[in-house]
Amino acid sequence: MSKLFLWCKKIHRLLVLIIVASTLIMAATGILMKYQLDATGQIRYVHNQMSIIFTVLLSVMAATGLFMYFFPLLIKRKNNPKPNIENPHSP
Amino acid sequence: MKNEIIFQLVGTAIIIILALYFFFSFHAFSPLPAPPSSNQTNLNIVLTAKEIAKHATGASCWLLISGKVYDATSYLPIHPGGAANITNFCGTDATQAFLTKGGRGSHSAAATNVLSSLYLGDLNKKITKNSANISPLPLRGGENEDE
Repeated sequence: MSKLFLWCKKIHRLLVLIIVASTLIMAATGILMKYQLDATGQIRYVHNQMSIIFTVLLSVMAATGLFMYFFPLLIKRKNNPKPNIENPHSP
Repeated sequence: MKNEIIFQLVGTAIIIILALYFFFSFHAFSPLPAPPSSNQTNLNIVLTAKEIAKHATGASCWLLISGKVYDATSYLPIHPGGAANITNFCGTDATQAFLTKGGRGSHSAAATNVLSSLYLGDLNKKITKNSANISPLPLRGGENEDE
């Protein structure tokens, strides 16, 4: 599991710049369409095509990010179990 | 660390190149007029409902929208909502479907502009567009276009 954690970390780091670039492109095309600055449909076409790549990248980032977030919590809980509060004087 | 930065830069460059490719390839897919063909479609065709109904497939798709007839055949592969959302209405009155975007809102001004470029003529009137731009009727088995 720790190997998976390291792989997730590596993938997450590698995709940072790439996801930023694709997010900027999606945001720019989305805003241009929102304010109807797309007379020919060209911007809509780019937004439509790039959305597939963006969705895949974002899903990978989300999955690796979620794993990196919860994995340390799981390890911490495993190593430090909660004390027995029902019988505090038990040896 | 160095390899990481190189990978990121290469990946970013690929994303930007892809976006530019889609941007400039749009005109390659846009419904431009076809070159003149030796098989000219008869300009005396009157755009009746019966005539429109003959063009009810993806190979030749005519739509009736607000009393005007449009040849959507060349636009099918690039329709953002997919070809199926148009082919369901080929050969029929697609006014409500177009105005309500299949019940999901309304089409943009860009979509209306594209539609106007596909205009053939008014319902129950003769075709007003150059016949070279019109998609011919799909051939049935055994038929020859020149017969």
